[in-house]
Amino acid sequence: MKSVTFWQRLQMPVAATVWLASAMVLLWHQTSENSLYGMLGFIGVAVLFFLVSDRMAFFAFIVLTLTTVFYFLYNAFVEGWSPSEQAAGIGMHFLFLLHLFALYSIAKYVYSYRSENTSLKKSLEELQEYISEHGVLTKREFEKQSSIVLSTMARHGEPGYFVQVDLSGIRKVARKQALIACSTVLFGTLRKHYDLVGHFDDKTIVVLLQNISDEGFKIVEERLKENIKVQIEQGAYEQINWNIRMVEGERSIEELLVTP
Amino acid sequence: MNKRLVILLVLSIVFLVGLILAAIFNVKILLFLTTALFLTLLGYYSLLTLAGLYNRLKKREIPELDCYPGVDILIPAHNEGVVIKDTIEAMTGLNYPGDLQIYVLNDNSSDETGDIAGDFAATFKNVHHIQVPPGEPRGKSRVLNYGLSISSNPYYCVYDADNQPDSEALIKLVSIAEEDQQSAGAVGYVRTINEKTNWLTRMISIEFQVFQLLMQSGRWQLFKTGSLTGTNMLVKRSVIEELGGYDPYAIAEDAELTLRITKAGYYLPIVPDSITWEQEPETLGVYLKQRTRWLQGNLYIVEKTLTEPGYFKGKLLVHSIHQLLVYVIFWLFLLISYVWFALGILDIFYIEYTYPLLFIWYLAYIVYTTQLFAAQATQRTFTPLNVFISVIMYFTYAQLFSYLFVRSLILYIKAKKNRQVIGWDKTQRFKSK
Repeated sequence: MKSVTFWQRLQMPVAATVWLASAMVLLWHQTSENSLYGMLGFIGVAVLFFLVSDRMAFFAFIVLTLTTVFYFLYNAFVEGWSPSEQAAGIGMHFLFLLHLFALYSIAKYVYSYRSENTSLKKSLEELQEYISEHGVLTKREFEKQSSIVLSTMARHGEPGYFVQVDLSGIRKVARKQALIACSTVLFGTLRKHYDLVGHFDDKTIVVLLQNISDEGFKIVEERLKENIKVQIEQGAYEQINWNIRMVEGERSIEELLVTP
Repeated sequence: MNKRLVILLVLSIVFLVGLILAAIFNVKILLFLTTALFLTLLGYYSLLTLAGLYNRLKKREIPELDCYPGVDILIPAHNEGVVIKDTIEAMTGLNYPGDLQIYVLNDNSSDETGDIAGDFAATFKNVHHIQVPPGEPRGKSRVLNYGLSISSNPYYCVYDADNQPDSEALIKLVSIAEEDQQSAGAVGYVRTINEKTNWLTRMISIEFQVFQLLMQSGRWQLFKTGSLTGTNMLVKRSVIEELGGYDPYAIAEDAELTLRITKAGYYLPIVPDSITWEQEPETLGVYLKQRTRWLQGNLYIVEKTLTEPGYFKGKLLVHSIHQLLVYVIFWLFLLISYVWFALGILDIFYIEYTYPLLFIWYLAYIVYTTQLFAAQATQRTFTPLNVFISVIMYFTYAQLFSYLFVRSLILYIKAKKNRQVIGWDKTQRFKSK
């Protein structure tokens, strides 16, 4: 699990302190007749930021930033601010921005913890049936899942096939992408919830087909090769080495990898 | 020097003389005009920021098509051995249901670009290694014109040789382009792959997020017009044929083509979710060289805008005004303010004024920094370091623009005077870590 950095630990307390301190300074600078409106304004903005999503809160932050800076400029024109008054105005506005940014940060943290919690729960459910992005299993996952499938096949006396597709003959520079392309084709051609396709290393794809007769396998093999030929150049296709083995009661991949 | 440039220079001199005379005889009017213009400019950019942010927050559905038209991917490559393998790998990883042909347009590379492209071409049916015949003027435009001549699909998509698009990038571009008959294609978004290398790459990345995403989205939201980005851009073959191909003399071929596409009445929809990852300069030297070339390209467009008829009509007005605002008016303001500041410091020139100029300066800083923040928020790239960099970018990175502009202008005028063709200058690549 990713450890929490020192800065991550500090984020919330720092944001909360800046938010509170800036609010107090801003309220202290209000005239007594305006202080109630000021306080209501700060509370209103805080409620708004926490009610909406983090993206909407940010939109509100930008709208408030731009409208207030133009409002300050309007005042500067109307009241004819001197350079020192302008400097004071800049300071006040900057403090207000700091206050808004701290508030937005707190709202964002709260929102992100909420969505992180939801997505973690979802990922946990999905983890049990993890497969890689192309629908192809990693070596570890293939070994794990194939041992279950092989044991079932052995128990029921079902026929099956184990295929190794060796791409080591393909030019090195294009091999990685050829491996991905071929395994995606294999996965797309075979039965989704029945057969297993996995990467064994950076040049070998392994396939386990369960409960399939000799005739059935011949048809599947033909289809697999045809589909690969659609994507791969003839010269490169000829470099692919197909090692096909019938499953005859073996219970693990290690047993199948032993040359008979 | 050609006639058009002489007219342009004379107009600029007349404008400058006018400003000086106005300054001598009526400083207050000059100050009023410049303040009003500057505030209009800041108001316009604030509006674009809000519109862009609104556009990015809206969820846009990518439609699913019954039939996906064929697309040719064109990758101009000149000595790209450092990056080309990663690029072609990403191209072969694109998920596209229609016919997809990938052309690596090898522009006389002397490194291993050809070998790598050849290896892929020998492995994949849809990867083609094309040797572009030597010719003048050198550059991306000529190479792309050649690529168009040897390909035939109804769409073509350009990727720079250091790009790695997401697997769904192309399908999103095509889906949006097919939505409207008047679309000339579609434009995706370019992100920085080496953002975390140093502060310079972080600044470039943030700048891209603002100008390639937020401002583009804002212009699309307000005026339904977008601009090509040079990479991750899809164009209909019928449109480029109607326009007569790329202008081989244009260095910023994307911006130049944008103007002609808009002039012809076509749309260029923006697809922010179609993402490609690009390598950006990691050293100041490489950055300055690249940006000088870009700015020279933009000066060529400014020249075209001012000297050729038809650039101030309809939607094209938005692009033309943008070019003039950034590359003429804004720069003049900048120049005047620097001179004014220097003369004031030296106690040579002093103007009695009543405008809150200090606060206007602060407003400019806030508008600029707000854009940087807004762009990062939409891309979820907010980090404490990025926030800090955004706060200092106005005082550091943004100030490089003045130097770059002067440098580009001098080189551009020099080249025009000597009747030289400004050639394509390759950006140095870095090995990805």
